[in-house]
Amino acid sequence: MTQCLWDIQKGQRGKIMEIAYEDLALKMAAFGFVKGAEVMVVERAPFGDPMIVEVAAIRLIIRKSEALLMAVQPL
Amino acid sequence: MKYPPEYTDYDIQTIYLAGNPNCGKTSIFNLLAGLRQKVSNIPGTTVEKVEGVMTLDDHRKVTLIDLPGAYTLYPKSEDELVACRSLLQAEQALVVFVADAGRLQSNLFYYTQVADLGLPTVLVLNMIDLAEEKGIHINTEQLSAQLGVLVVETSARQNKGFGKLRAVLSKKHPPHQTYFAHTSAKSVETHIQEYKLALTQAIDSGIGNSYTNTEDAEMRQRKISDILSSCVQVQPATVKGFLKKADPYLMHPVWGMILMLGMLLVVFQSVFSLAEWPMQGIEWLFSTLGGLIKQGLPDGFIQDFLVEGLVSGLSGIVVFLPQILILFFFIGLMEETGYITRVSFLTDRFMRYFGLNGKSVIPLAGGLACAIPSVMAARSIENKAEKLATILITPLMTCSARLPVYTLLISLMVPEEASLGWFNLRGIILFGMYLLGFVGALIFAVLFKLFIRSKVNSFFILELPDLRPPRWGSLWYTLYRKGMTFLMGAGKVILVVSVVLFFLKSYGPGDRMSEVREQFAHPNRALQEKWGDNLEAGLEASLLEASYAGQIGHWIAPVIRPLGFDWKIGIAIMTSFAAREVFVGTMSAIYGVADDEEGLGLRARLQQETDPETGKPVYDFAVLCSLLLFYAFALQCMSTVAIVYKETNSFRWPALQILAMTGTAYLLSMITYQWLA
Repeated sequence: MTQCLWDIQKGQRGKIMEIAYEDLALKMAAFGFVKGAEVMVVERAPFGDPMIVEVAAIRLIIRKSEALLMAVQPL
Repeated sequence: MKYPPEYTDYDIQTIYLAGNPNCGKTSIFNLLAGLRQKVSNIPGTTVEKVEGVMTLDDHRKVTLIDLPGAYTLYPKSEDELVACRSLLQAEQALVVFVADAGRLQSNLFYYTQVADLGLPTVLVLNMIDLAEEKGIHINTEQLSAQLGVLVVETSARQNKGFGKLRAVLSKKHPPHQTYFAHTSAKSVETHIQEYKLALTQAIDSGIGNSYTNTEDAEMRQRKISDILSSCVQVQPATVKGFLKKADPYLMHPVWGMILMLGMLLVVFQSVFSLAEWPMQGIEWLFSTLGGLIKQGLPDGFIQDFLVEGLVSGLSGIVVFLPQILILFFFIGLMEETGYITRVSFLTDRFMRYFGLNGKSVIPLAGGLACAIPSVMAARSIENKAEKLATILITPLMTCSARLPVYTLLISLMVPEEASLGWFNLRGIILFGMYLLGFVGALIFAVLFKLFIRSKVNSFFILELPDLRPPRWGSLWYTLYRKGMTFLMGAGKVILVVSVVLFFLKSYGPGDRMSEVREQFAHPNRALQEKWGDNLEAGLEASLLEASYAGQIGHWIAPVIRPLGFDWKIGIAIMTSFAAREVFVGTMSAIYGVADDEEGLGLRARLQQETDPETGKPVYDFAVLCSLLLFYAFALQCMSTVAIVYKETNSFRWPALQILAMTGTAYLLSMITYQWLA
């Protein structure tokens, strides 16, 4: 069952399944954030937003508005 | 452009440094170019162009260009667009691609795109020491063979690998001869030509094509993964070192917030208090210089112009340097260590309510000391609209130049012993003014955002760099560069405005000023009664009234009358456009009070001042409130206007800013005065 990246708890991992919008997918691809890659939620700011995720050995800060556009399969 | 270039006489004239943000590209640039560097704005943009000169081993000189950091050649930001354009137009050039050895997967992605442009390329694996600490071991020979490129390992922090890098750069380089995203049977040359054409078209039209889509990107990432799995070994790193242990606390929703507020307090306090001494020193230096000129030159126009116009104008520029350098020392430190990104992370949500982002916090906090370095600090905000909003609202924060004005006005407003509960009333009002500035800034942010149209719907994705010890060398270069940018950019405008203000103060229409001099040379009874022993001060006050500045003061008097201000305040407002604190000095001059440190003489004089018609005190509660509000909101600072012009590269934004801030000040002061009076 896939979930929104936004709904993944701190410390949980997932596999990236889908990124809505070509523009966003392209931007994420530059970071190695591509379909099939493994992602982990590292930390969340006060009120949960934004969040820090780790993918391909780098950490990214992602806002709720973007995290809602990404589907992951929890691992 | 022909591919391959005629390489028999391929003399390299330019070396481009390309790479992701945070890869240490700039420290490599500094080590190669030294202080022979020049910063300018790329025409039509606010992107900095950093150029230097490097001497190769065979004594040839080449231009070294530090491209803005980018993640991809499919540009999404102004910085990336500039980097991409420069590379596409490069000729007789060598590309030195700097990659963070600890983040090869994402760094090599941009590398493969750059290499596919077919320019001679060298790959530098920087921060190799930190990668090894993280347990990452790279087989460089293998990587070099797989990518078909020369690989050099460096560590800017430990100054390692630079001899080798210099030697490599001094050699002749063949054009890059592999095409990474090779998919069909076409030749490498055809691929490269098609790729360059496709990129140029994509940039010019803003529409992507098959070379700039996600499929191409995913294919590159997959190939990179394959290559890395064969030449990089990762041993599970153990968490060690103070920084690694501290990091989770710095990002923590509760502890992180507390630590951040503490940190901002230290920065604000330092800019405020550490700058005090050097600023006094600079002022002393320039006034000594002025004194020397006065002694050396005969009285008259040239002496006045040099001393009152030029030297005092220069002093007004250089005096900002300590604050700029101190603020940028802290910002540089936070950037070098990667802490600044943690601040952005923690504050992003709150700032977003006002159309700003996490990176706006630093300029706003710095604005409490001085808007000039803080406006410059807004450069690090990638999103254009949010950067602009931050620049526009920073001058609303209560800067240190407002303090002398507030102190004088508040001390006239309430007696020293007045208190509210345990708190001194003066202190409470001052605190209220700081709060007013902050709240005003946030409200203005929302309003300004209505005027800012952002073309690019940008997604907010920020890379979080590892926390690492600062590279001090790099920090000193940043300070040097920021200092020069200010002196050469805003400095010129400030100098021009100071000279104009000097002329307005020193000359008057017709013979009015010489008449005044005449009168004071042979003072009559009326004058003697009016000024008593203070004839000297009286002369100065009367001269100021007769000057163009005085004329303008009289001229704008009807305009500022609804605010409760008379022509004397008008002159003070006009001259304090140079800097807000000039208000106090001008008021002393107009009232013919000797300029003293605390303004005690001036305060006593202002309290006595009565309206000649009504006999009521001029500086009553309503006027003082009105003045306080005016100085809180009006953009009374030419240096800020100059730096905003410089940073936004347009007249439009500083004009809008003056209109909005001074307009608001006018309305608020008028409403307050009319209501209270």
